[in-house]
Amino acid sequence: GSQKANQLHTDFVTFEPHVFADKLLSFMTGRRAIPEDPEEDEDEEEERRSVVRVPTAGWEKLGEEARRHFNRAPAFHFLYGSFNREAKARESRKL
Amino acid sequence: LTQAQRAAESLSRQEIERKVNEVVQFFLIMEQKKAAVKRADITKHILKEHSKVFPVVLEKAKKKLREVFGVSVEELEGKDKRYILVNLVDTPDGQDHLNMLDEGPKSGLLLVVLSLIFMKGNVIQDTLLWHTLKRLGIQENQPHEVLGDVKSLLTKEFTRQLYLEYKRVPQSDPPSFEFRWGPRAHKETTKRRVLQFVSKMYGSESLEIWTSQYQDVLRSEGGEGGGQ
Amino acid sequence: MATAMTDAHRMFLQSIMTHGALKAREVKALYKKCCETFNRPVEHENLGKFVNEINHHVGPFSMMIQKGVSEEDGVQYYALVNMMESDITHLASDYTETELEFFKKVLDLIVDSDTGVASSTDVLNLTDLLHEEQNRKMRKKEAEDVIRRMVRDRWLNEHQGEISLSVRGILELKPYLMEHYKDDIRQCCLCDQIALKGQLCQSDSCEAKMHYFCANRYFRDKDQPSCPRCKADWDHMVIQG
Ligand SMILES: [Zn+2]
Ligand SMILES: [Zn+2]
Repeated sequence: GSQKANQLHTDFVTFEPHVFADKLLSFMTGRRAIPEDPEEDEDEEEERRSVVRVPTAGWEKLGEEARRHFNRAPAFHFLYGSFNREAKARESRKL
Repeated sequence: LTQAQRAAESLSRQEIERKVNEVVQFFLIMEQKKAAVKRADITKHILKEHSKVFPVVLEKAKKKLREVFGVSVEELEGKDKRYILVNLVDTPDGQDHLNMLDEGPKSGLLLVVLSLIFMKGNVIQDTLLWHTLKRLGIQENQPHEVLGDVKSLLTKEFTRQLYLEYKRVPQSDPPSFEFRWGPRAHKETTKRRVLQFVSKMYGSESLEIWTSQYQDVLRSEGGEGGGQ
Repeated sequence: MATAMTDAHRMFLQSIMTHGALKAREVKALYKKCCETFNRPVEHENLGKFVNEINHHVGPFSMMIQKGVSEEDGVQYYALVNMMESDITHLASDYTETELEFFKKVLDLIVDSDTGVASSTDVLNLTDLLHEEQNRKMRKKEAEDVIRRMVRDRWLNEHQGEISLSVRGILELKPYLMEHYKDDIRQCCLCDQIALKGQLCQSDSCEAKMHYFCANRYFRDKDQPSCPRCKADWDHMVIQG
């Protein structure tokens, strides 16, 4: 039954980085992954894939997803106190 | 009384309180660059000649950071005492009360790299990593339009922040390098959460479909026995 | 005993720590979200009390959430500011020493200008001054990036090529402004707050200065706008923020 099929299924799912990269591409760009093209040989396909450009919005979307997965602590940011005060005040410039 | 408590008595209660407040401020300022805080840094900048009170002051500072700011001080493995901050405030929609400034894309890239490392058995050759990133439009030696100098991001910034470890494979000739998760990655996220992200990219909820990686998750949650 | 911090307080504090400055409207929405996330009753009239409770706990670390009015549009903002300079605050690393020296030069330009704004070209040319006076090298491109980051972090505002100090900058740098520039810093004759971005009285002998939004309110029902101090005609331009 389904248990057997499920068992079969899990044996075949090995992690392929290039497949993961295509999944990420479609997540970031919304376009379906670049289809495999049988006639294309390895180098041509490589060439076509490497000229990929993900717009900034795609990386922002991935960033929004990523923030959920890290428990990042906030830092204390300031300007006053980060530079030392001059010993003396500046003479007035007003006439 | 421990030696530290005896030393603490040499300082007045107000002085201890002031040192504690300075240590709290120090941690939150060091978080600007996500640098790890060493015991030696705290002694040099704050305790100075009163270094023996370190344990008492650190304990009190940890409590204040937890109760006031909702962050926990985590000690990292290793002989010299190093500490980082991790967020304790758990919001349902995942930290979106924090402003990411323009760090979003960088943390997106970090999550991709951590996923690749974990899914390839907790270590990945740099050649395979760059080959994979090329498919996302990232070239090893070319500045990226959004992410800038990605090579220095992965091998310098993220390693300095302890998100990644970048080491040469011993006796490799020509030298080859490997990436692993750094100690901060282990503290700020978990293998389970990264596997959830990977599964989501494959459009699936289930983690079990990744047999060996899911075993790794269970081991990492198994408590003492769990490997890094 | 002061009220203890709850998760709602911590979530609110963390958010404002990372946002630099938030409009009052955004703060109310954040307060509502923090209360709802940790099922606390949302009582908007208690926002002030809520912020004071946080200020009580963060005070020892020389932090404070303050309210201020933006010189751009008269809108109220909240910002978390650092109140004290110390050896520890000198360890801050958001900006390098050269970038901070550059920022001080930008402040000089803003304070010296009658209307509290510096043109972006003048600001970029400060790199030459930096080089002459302090032998610090900063390329124009780097200066552009510093300005971009300071606008992002809500220290500066950039509006049609004009750069001014933001409400966060004024709130936090007030002690420095008063101590370093002394009388060159003018107060608005209507609201008594620091007035960098604003309009001067036309008559040379009079030093009155007004925020544009304060002038809008003050002159709204007056057909003959005149300086409240010296009664000289006030060339009032209704400026949208
Ligand atoms: Zn005014
Ligand atoms: Zn006048």
